[in-house]
Amino acid sequence: MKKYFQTARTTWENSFVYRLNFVMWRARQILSLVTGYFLWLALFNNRNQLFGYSLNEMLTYVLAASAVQSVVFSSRTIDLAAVINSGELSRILVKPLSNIKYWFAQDLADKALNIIFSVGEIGLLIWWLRPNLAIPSWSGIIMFLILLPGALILYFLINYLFGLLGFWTPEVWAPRFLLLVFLMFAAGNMFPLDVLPDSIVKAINLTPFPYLIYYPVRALLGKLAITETGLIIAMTYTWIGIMYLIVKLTWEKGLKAYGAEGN
Amino acid sequence: MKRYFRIWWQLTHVSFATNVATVFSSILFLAGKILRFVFMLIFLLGIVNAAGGIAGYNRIQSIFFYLTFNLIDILAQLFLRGVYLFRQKVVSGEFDYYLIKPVNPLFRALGGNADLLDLITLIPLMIYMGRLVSEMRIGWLDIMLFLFMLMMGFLLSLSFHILVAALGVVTTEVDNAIMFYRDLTAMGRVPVDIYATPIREILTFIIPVAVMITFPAKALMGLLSMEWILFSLFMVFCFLFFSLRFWKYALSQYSSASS
Repeated sequence: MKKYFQTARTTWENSFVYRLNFVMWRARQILSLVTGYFLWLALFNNRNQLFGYSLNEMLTYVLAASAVQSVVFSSRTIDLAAVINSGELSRILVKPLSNIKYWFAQDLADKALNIIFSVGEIGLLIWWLRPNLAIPSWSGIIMFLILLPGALILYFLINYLFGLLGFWTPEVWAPRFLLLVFLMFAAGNMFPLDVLPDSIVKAINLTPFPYLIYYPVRALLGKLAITETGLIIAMTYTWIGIMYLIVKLTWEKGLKAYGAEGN
Repeated sequence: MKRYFRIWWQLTHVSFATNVATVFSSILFLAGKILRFVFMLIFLLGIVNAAGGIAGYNRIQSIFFYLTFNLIDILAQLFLRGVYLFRQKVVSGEFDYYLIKPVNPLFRALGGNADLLDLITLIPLMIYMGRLVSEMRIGWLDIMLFLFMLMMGFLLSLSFHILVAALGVVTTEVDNAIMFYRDLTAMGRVPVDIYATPIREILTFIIPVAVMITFPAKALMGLLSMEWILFSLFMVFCFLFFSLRFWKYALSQYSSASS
């Protein structure tokens, strides 16, 4: 456990080496948040309700989704494919480290850093814009805290799986780009999925993506009934189980194909 | 001019050949680009249909802002894509070879990596825009003004790319700068009128995303006054001048990593 804690600590410290990188990344998140915030403000205009959300609820959704995105989507596992392609994976394989735990430790450090800054940024925006937010209930907060770790682990496994493609091809960026496009649309970070036609929402619900941001934030807003929350929790952890099995199989096959080229 | 066109054509030919050589990746990238456009359009159509428009603009006008953003974005990526690969050239020392050749290094840095996939997505976009223009029943004068403002928008985009390239020479920090620029211009997917003070002012007077994207669309709709057109010309001139000066300064500070 101590070695993974050290890995996380090193990742944390590394983030401050390339400070400009990090500042630019956070600036980009703020831009995205500001765009969404003002778009919904303009759409509501003099309306009380849109897509089943009041203005307060929608603005709360936008801000909460941004914070959740900082936690769930921040990841170092994006470097895994490059590590495999360059043969650097050998360094990790010869050490008494589990590769998946090693990368998860790095992810956790990255997420911790991002959430600290995200909370600060959202706090500043709330102080500046003074929106009327929907205050979540205690049950909503509890449901959210149950769903959030699941979302975290699920995204890590999805990202890790795409990183493992590096065993077979150096061209990992293309499938990853496609994944990002689907996430942008189906995870609920840009907008609640209620905006979309029912048929599209039904199709999206067959994927793991809405369990990353949309359902946790809906739970926070108290828009999930207890029974529905139970189902969402079950689905989230079912997807985690499925993804873990796929990752495990892919890793075993990948190791057999691994040639440590470049190292 | 003819010489530069021949060089650009040759470089573009090589870039297109690379796309064709990596068929699987190219198909996935093309699918991603198309899906990204379609998904965003579905989202925008959903919200403008429910809300009746954005910031006083009707449904078709609201969508046209998004299409104008895409047009500027695709044109910039088509002609200025070299900036995405520029950091590697500086870090590896390959930029040294740009400097010793009898070709403007800025031209070489920015141009020449045109993406065939962007050309493919440009065609249906322009067809869709044409359809919307015919639905809006726009006169020829407004169309000409739109094309003129589009050119101004592209020149502004060029200025930003030159600034990023210059930043890459001075600091080797290109990737985040160019993505920051793209996120900034993405704020122009919707009319900048929706943003509160001081964001709207920043996007108009300091980092003129409004001039790049909102103004061309407004010009087409006959909503852009002469004062704003003259302001746009002034901003384009200032940004081009400043970006080229900064590029010149960056070159004077360049020390090769290795070659």
